[in-house]
Amino acid sequence: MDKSQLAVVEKFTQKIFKKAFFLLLTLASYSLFAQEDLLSKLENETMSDKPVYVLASFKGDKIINIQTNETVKKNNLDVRVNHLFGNIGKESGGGFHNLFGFDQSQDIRIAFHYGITDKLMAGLSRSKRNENFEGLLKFKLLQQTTDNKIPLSLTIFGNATYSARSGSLVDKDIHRLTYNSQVIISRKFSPKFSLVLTPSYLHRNFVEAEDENDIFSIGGGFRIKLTQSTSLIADYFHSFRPKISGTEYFAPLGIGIEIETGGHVFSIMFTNASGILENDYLVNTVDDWAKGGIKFSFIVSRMFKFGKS
Amino acid sequence: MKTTLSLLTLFLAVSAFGQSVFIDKGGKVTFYSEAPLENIEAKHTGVNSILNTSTNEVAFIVPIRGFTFEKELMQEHFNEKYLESDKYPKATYKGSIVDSIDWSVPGTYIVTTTGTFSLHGVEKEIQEQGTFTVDGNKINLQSQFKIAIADYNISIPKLLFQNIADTVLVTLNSDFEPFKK
Repeated sequence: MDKSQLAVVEKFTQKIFKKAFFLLLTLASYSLFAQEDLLSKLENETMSDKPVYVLASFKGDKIINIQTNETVKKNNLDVRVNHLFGNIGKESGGGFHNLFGFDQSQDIRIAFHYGITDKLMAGLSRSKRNENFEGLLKFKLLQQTTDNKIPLSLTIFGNATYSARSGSLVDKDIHRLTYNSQVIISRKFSPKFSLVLTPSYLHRNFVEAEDENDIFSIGGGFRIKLTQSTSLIADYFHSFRPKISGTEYFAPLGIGIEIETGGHVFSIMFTNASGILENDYLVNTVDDWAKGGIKFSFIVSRMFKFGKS
Repeated sequence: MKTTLSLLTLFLAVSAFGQSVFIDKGGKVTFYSEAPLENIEAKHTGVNSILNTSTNEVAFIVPIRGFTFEKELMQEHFNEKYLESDKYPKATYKGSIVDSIDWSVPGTYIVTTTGTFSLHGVEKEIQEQGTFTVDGNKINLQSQFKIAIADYNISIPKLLFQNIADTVLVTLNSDFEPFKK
């Protein structure tokens, strides 16, 4: 190899080294750069695709009359005592003499709701009016996620009631049964506003001559937070059913204020619904808001937890 | 020869670099609130932590929704009302270790870190003590510090919620392992 050849080789190797050096430098600085923000590096490393479900669309299994998407959590037992007083307005039997319905109890429901899983709830209840025993199931089919990949919650509800009432209405045991099934479509639009829309189908084994066994209804309800601990709540149901001579039926409408404390949610509710159970108020509401047929209602709820979650 | 040498050092630097990062994706954090009416404890077992032993930096990400409480209602209030986890889904910390540690020597080091803690949308410079236990490739960090909830714009209506303390005690425990891509 002569001198000129050597020079060429030397130049060539120098060039390669230079290039490699720069390449490495960029690589090193790149990783140095990535290192610079440790927090973003950690963020990239730990990003999870696990869905985060929206929390607390509503504060209970019902707003006032309408079911919500909420169920009792796994291994929790919710004992609920719901009291529906008498009509407030004088025209509807209320007034001062019975302290605006306070002396009456239109309906009382004592219910036990148990969370079998975080998505499935089973319950048993007894209501004073019509002496109904109820068995219910509620299942969260779809849950709204915080990233909006699932924009709404779908919950299904079903119950069966058995009336223990004596009298001429029922001559066969099978006539004492009613069934209600609902699809609860709900969405928490913001931390302050949640909405629910519920198509409902009620079957009664026994009805009066002009009435229909199968009644379809549609209901809606909402919760608006007014302050950090108080909310305005309301719900409404419309039932598609034939006119029945002699009795006028009304659509149940409920309005209330919900106050949250550390251990309890107090709901001060007013409704014209004649009963607490869907199977009752959807078809038996005979009181009119316009005539003071409004009742005060409240719920006492106590949660018991079993085992470890 | 010179170029080769510098290249070699660079290579070494680059590869050494990878080994100086340690990570833990299952760190534990608990917080404890002591009040006359009720003591409240919440646990988290999915805290993400990272440690760079060449720059002496640490960082943490705490997904707020991961805290579990004994009572579901408390957990709901914690997320919905106080920490507003829909709006502020995580708490973060990024800090540097003030004291020097020889990471190659096994042992226990009590150090001070300074850095930025972000919680409920509020960033604050904090200085806390921690204990590193180095055992070869395994590094454990334990720390305990107090957080005044008012510092982070967390308001609790006193009339309705008497069961929450003004200051909560936070305990951290991370087991770092070498970071692998």
